[in-house]
Amino acid sequence: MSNPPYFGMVTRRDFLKGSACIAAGLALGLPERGLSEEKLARVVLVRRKNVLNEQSKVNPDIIHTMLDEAVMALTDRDEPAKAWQSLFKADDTVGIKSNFWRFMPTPKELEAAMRAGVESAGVPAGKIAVDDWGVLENPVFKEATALINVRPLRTHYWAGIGGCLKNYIMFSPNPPDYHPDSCADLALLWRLPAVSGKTRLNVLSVIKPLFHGRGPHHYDQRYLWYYGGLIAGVDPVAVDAVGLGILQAKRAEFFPEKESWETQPKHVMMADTRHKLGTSDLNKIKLITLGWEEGRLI
Amino acid sequence: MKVFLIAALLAAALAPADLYRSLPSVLKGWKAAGDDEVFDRKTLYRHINGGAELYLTFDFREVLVRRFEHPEKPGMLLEVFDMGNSADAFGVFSCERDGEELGIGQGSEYAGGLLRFWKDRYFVAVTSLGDEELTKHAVAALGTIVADLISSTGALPPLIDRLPREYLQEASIRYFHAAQSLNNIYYLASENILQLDNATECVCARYGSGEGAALLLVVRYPDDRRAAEAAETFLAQYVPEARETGYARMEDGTWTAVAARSRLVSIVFESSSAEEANRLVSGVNNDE
Repeated sequence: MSNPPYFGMVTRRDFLKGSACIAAGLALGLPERGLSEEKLARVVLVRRKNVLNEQSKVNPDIIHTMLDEAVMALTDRDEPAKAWQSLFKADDTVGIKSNFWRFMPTPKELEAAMRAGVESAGVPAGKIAVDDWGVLENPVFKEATALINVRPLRTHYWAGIGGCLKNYIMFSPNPPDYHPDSCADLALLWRLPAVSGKTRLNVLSVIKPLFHGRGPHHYDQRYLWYYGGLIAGVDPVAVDAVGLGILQAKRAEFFPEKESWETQPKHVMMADTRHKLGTSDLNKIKLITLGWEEGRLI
Repeated sequence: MKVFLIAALLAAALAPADLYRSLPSVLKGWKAAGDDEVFDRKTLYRHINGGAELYLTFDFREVLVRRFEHPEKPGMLLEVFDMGNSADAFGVFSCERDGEELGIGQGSEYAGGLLRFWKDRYFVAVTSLGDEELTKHAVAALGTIVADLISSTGALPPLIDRLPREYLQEASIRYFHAAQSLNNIYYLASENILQLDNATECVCARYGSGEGAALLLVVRYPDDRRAAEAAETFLAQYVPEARETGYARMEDGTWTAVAARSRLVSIVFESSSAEEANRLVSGVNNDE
């Protein structure tokens, strides 16, 4: 994998000089004056104060409603079934690429809500599957005409953040191929035959995100906080950029002195500027916010 | 005599299979749940996802994972990593230090529901899967039992002995091999300008106190030639202005110094003065 000529190597001194901001993966950009709405990537952020009950369990009815609201706002439909039907057809075979990381798996209730949404579009239950590690052997995924990408948002030891882009690593027969340089080229996963052109919906669960971790174990209860949200979009880079913005804001709020990222999440910016997979510039994203406003951070 | 002593020591080290058989299944109301899982170098990423890469830069062999459940309290996850040798067990442990020392194993730390320790060739983690206040005592107890099952101890990486001792922050010592590990500790460059790989040994540590503590990095290469090449690459691509004197001032006002002797390359980052930077690189024990 060769870098575009104008990138080259970035060193710590480039950061000190201030010349490495673009390559750092931070969503920078000058305001685009006069950028029409249809050119903006559409991302929906829906939040509820009570999506977790007193036992910290996900309320299945509330999360189902949140997901439907997000899909309706994303597709500009006024009924859930119509919204899902605009994304999936009855003859689709749909793989829901989830995330089973034992410390922060995708809530089962969210997976169930997704299944229900896809079924409301007319797809038979037998042509829908949820999987993570087994996607390359899963018969539904092997025949999939459409994918949904869903996982909880968190910081990540090797990539900076674990978001939409990182979630497709299991479609690679050899995941370490995508690890060099802080996983800078994760966007290339999206060119794999099993993936290319199939993703209809990307959802990040930000119900209780992890905004800081330490080392490869990374899961640290001290750095979880209740946010109560879902981020949804068709553009995975835009969805990750919004998620990254939320994590950055939380870290700035929580750490009295700015805590540097253990690993710079530059793959988000690289997915845009190097690989043209989507947009990472928050100025080019139309963020639609629904529900609970307090503590939104962005 | 020395041969017999070494043989005896090797015989005393607990083999992974023996350790796994000895692990507890019941502890203070917690019981082992489901089947144990074992992951090796090829399958580790299924268990740790992105964090597997760190272990693969060391001599990781396999990890046994056992889950514990309690009818009324959060569960616990026990992971016993066979790192192949004590230096690499310490290395993995050192890359994540951020907690309270509990005196378990040969070095331990606890924070945020996670207990980590190393002993001999093993690195062990015990994680609370829920509210840590309800499990901390059990996490510590399980860790202590596992540590006691490992009857032998192992040596720290000898490279650590080469660090100057004055003003050294002991808890900041890190041992590793790969460029990505260095970048996670101290971001240097998007490319491997120090030519690090599994054959190189690296140790870094902070010196001084408070803000502005300098970072000393010492890399041991397999031979003098590789060390010289790496030093040249680093100078050329990172700090060419240090080529004549061995030190230079950075954009943020701190000082960087470089010294290469036989198989060692020593570099100081973020020193508050040229004098300190040179003192640190000069204080590295280069005797081979």
